[in-house]
Amino acid sequence: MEHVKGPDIPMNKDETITRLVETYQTDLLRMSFVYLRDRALAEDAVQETFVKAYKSLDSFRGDSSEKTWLTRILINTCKDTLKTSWFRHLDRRMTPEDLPEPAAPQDGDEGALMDEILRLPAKYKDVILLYYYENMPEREIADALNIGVSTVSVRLSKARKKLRITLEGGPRHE
Amino acid sequence: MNNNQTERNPEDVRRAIDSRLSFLTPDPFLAQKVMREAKGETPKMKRKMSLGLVIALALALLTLSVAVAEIIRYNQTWYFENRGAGYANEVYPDKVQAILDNLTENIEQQQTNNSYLDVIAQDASYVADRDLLTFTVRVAAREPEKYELHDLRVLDTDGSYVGEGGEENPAEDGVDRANHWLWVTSADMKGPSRFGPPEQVMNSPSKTLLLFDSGPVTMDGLTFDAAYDTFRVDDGAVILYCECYLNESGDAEELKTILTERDAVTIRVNYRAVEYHEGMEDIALYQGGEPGMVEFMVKVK
Repeated sequence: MEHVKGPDIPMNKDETITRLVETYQTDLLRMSFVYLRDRALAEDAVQETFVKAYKSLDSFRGDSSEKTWLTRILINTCKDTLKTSWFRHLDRRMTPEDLPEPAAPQDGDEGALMDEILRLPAKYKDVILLYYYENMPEREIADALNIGVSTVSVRLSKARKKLRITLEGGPRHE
Repeated sequence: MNNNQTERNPEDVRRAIDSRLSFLTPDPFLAQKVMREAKGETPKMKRKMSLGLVIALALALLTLSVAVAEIIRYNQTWYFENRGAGYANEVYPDKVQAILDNLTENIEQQQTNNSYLDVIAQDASYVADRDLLTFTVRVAAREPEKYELHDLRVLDTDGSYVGEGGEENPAEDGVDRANHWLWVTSADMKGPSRFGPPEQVMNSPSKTLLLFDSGPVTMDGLTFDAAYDTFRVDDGAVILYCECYLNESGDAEELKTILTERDAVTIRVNYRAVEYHEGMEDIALYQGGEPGMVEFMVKVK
């Protein structure tokens, strides 16, 4: 997995945000859904993420990859949503059983694994999603979550045990 | 070793998420929405104009306003004064008056690029105390010289079985048929209805029959229960009048919560454009074609 440092941000913000939306929207939407387990809220969080990104494009220095930057914004946006009194009052989140049937036939364990991911405590869900779904190295995860690299390692280790994920064959990080 | 004890590969995580969440599809309008929201109200450009240009513009506007006045707008006002006059005057006069009292025209909207169709939301009305949302959509073929447009709902409107074993030349309605029939009513319901094999009913049988099929009406991914009336007008466009009932929708509580909390909501209508060819497979007719979508804003406060 290649992480590009110092992305080439052209001066035209509209073009840039259009490219970012096209490139990252699907991944961010799925991540957002895993956090919020509500389609409409997940879509809103993704839109809000890109709006925030648009507004701060000028100050984005490329210290992290675009993906890490957007992911960090998304996670914070999702956490803000989870904190709102409205969300706590009206919990209409989908349970794994409520998810629509996948279009393609699914391996039996894929469904079980997804259920287990959805039910993970947030701190484990964070690292699993970022490491295995977003292919981010531990250092970038630490950056995105604003925690130490060692904390990321410990959480990853515990989350792996919960999900029974082997270490072999994991994503390759630079 | 049972399934609960099986070790998983890291790739399984991505595969599970992608597969199980494949129903989450990207929004083709997201970039535009983001830019609009990020920019807020965009101030209008102030342009310096010469007196000549002002006069020319005024003349052009005058000409345009005369032309517009001559075009019938098949909106809800027209609908309830003509095609739905009986419904408006005799069946539900109070309901229709409430719809018209809350009518919004010139609504903000956007549509996906569809190579066959241009779909415009004309007007919409939300009647809060009746839990009712109504709107009309105008659908026009982008190549009217090539296609004759009809709504898919006017195909086999009588509900007869169509397929193998049906009559090749049925003489009356309701008889099982080997071929599809098109049913066409006049826009104002004052003219005769026509029905029969498409080539016998179409205005221009040399054109290809193009069918518009709208999907469920949704808001924030929640689906309204809805009823439709559809008709074809003189210029070849199809008008869809839709009534959405909150109380009868499966997502009623969520829909009401959203409608209560917001000043305006975005309504989405998904649709397909399908070229009809005699003998085509049912799956191509009922599930194929080119998809499209129109989204429009409705004021609810």
